[in-house]
Amino acid sequence: MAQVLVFARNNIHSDPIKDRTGSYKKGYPVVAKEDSWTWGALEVAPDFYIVKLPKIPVADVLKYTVSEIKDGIIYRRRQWRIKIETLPIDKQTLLETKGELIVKATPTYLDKSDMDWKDMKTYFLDQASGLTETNDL
Amino acid sequence: MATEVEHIIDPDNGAGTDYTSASAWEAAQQRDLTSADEIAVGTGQCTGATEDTTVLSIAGWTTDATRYIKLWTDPSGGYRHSGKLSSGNVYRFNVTHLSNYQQVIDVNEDFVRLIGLQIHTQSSAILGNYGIRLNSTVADGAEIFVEQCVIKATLAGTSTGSYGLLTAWVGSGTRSLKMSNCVVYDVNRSTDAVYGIANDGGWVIYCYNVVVHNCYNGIYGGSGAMRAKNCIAQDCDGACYASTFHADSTNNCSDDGTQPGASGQNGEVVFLDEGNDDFHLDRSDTVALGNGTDLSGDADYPISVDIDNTTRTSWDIGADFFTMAAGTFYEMWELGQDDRTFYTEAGVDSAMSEASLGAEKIKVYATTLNTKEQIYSDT
Repeated sequence: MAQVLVFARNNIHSDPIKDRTGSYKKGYPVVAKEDSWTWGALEVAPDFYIVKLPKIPVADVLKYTVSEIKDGIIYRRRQWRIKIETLPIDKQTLLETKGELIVKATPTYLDKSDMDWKDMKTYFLDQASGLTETNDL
Repeated sequence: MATEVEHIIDPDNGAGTDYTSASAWEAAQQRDLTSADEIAVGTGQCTGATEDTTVLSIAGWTTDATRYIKLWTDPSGGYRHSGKLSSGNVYRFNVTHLSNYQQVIDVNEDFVRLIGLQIHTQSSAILGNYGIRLNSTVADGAEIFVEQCVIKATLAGTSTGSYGLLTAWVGSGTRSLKMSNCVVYDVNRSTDAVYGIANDGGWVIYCYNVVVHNCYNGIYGGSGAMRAKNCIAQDCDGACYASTFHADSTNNCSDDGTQPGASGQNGEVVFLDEGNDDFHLDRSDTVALGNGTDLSGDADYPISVDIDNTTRTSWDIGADFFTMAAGTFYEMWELGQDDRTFYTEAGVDSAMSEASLGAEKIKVYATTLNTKEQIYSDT
């Protein structure tokens, strides 16, 4: 099972280039770890949310933690962004109160979940293409 | 004076942990340190032997010479390497790269200090694999420190374009790297596009008391702006030292005659345990021991300790300042021989008897940590 640590606020740099290439924004996946990972005291709101994807290998979600590259250099801090602000209000509330969302992304996961991947993936935006995620995990 | 704001990074999430990866620390803490008048300190710990396997990019900050980013291990904290690649409760990066042009630590900010870190960079069939890269986005006037670090590469398949540490090409300027008391090794893939330490151009580099071992190319000076002092580069398939170095380079050592500058040594350094990648100096070495130059008063980058944070009271070449174990040892020199043999008290009497029977001419010294006394001579 994968857990994705997601940045929960906007860092802003006064230099617009450094802001784009370096600053973390709300919804940027920061790191991906396995199910058994325990997070540090500050890896919580207001700085971070956790998106849990039970029974999904970490390797399958690492792509969401890479920078957007153009012409061999970093163009944006993260290629992918989770559109937190357009999630259903009850999911946003869950993130604010519980600090996490559990997403069912495989039929083999039968325990409690907050969303299905078929819905969640529509909030995963590829900032390079402007398109949302269409792939299953 | 700026305020140090420290956070604990421990992948094992032990007591007191703020972040479980350097990457999360960097994301949460990135800010304008100059207006906050702060130094951002990430202190690596490791309470359960778990490695930090997440690549770290340092970007999106505002820094200056007195308000900078520092990622380190506290030498008194118990979580730093022992001067060689270490396991167990040692804070360390271990990253296997899965895509081209990745680095374990990518520095994009101007004032950063990486101290006491262990970095293992691994790849197979990957182009451009870096332990540490100082990026071309770093501005003129920048000052980056890399000190007391151990950097190892494991390259397989068709990995090429790999570096232990690379300063990316910037053409010209006054960006400086101050690197000391580090070990960089195994950046080797039997091709010529891999380097232990490389100045791709435009950086001013002070490379002091560094060991580079088993890298295809050892240390690449790049247009003469690298000042190498007291460095060892050895067992490199290409050149131990390549390109040009600044005229201030001095007291360097190689085994292929390429060492730059004055007072160089050409020979095989005897390390404590080279086969197991322990590049501390062995007491029997004659190439590096005592052949360094005193850098405690260096005009550009004074240093005074070694990779183990031991104060240097004399100057050896390489990352280690040799210190003897407690007690007395006996060294026997035979007339006409360039090397000495060491004995404990139990062994020296029989060695001397054997020498007299064989009519060798010898001198024997009793040596301790601080003294050396000739106790016998028939030369």
